[in-house]
Amino acid sequence: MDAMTVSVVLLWAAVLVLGVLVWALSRQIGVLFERVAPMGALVTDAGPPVGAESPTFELNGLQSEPVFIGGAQERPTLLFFLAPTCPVCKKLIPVLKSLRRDEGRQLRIVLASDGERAEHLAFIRAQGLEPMPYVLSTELGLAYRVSRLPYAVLLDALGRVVAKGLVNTREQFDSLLNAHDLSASSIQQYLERRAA
Amino acid sequence: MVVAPPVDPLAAWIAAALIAALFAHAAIAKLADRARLEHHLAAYGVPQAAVAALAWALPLLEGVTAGLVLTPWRPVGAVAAAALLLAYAAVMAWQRAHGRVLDCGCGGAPLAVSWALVARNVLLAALAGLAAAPPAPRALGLADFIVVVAAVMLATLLHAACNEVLRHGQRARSDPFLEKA
Repeated sequence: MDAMTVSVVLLWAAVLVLGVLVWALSRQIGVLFERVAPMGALVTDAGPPVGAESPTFELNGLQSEPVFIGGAQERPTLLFFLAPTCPVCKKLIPVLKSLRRDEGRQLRIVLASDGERAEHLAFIRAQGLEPMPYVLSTELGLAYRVSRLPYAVLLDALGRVVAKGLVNTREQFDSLLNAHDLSASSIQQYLERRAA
Repeated sequence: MVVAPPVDPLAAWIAAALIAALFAHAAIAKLADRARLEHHLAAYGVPQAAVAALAWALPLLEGVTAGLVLTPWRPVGAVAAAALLLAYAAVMAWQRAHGRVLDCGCGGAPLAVSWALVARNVLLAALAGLAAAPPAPRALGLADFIVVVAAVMLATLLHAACNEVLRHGQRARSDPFLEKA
C-alpha cells in the first residue's frame, strides 16, 4: 500500500466519523430546542378561537361534584388549568380565592389538571381548594391546547370562549377578566394595546 | 435511450446505490405506516377514490425502482427514479406555490414541504441521471466496492442531518419566542 491509498482510507474514515458527529449534533440541537422552550408569557394561538363555541364536557370533579364545561350555563365560567408542581399556580391560588369571594355570584371558577388523583387530593387539602370544583381531565387540556401552566380560559354564560391565555400574575388575571369588556382577545393583545 | 458520455463505473455505481438506498427506505417507511401514507395523500389533494390504490402503488413502485437500479436494467430504474423524484418535486412546488404548508410525508419525523425539499429532489433526480449514464468499461475491484459502501453510509448520515437541520429551521420560524430571540 502506498501513501496515497493509506491517506484516502484515513480520509474516508475521518469523513464518516465527522458525518456521524454532524448528524448527532443536529439531533442534539433538537433536544436543546425542547429544553429552552419559553417558560411563560406567551399565548399559544391554538385551540378553540376567541368567540367560538367551547367544546362541551361532562366531567366529575375530584370531590365527586358533577362539572359541565361548555354549553349554556347560568354563570360565566373561568377554567383555570394548574398543577401541584407548578410554583406560579400556587402563587395565584390566593387570587383565585379572592376572586371567588368577590365575584362568586357572577363567575363560576373551575380548576382543571391531570395526573394522579391522590396527589391532587392532597394538593386540594393543603391549599384549601375544597369550595371550588376541581376536575382531572387530559381531554379538557387537549381540547384547549394547554401547553403551559397556569392557563386560564374564560367562557361566557352561552359557552363561548371570551378570553384565554397564560396567566402569571394577578394583573394578567384581571386583564383576562376585563378582556371581554375591553374587546381584547388575549393578555398579549391587551398589554400591547396598553403599551402602544 | 438517454445518450450520455460514459462515466466511470464507480461513479455510476455510487449513484445507483444511493438511489436504491433512498427508494428502499422510502418504500419501507411508506409500507410500514400505510394509514399515515393515506393521510398524507389526502393532504396532498389526491381524490378519495384514488387514495387506497395509490397507497399501494407508490411504495411498490418505489421498491421496484430500488431493485431495478441494482440490476442490469439500471437505466430503466434510474429513469423511473428520476421521474418519481421530479413528480414529487412538482407536487411539492405546486403546494408550496399555493402557500400551503403540509407534512412532506418523506418518511421519518414530520418535515414540512419547503422549497429546499423541491431543490433536494431536483438534485437527487440529477443523481439518478448519473446512474442512468452508460458506464465506461472497467473491471471493479474490492476497493471500489468498499468506496460504494462508505459513500452510501456517508450520504445516509448527511441526508438525515440535512433533514434535522431543516426541521430545526422550521421550528425556529414557527415559534414566535425563538423568532424574536
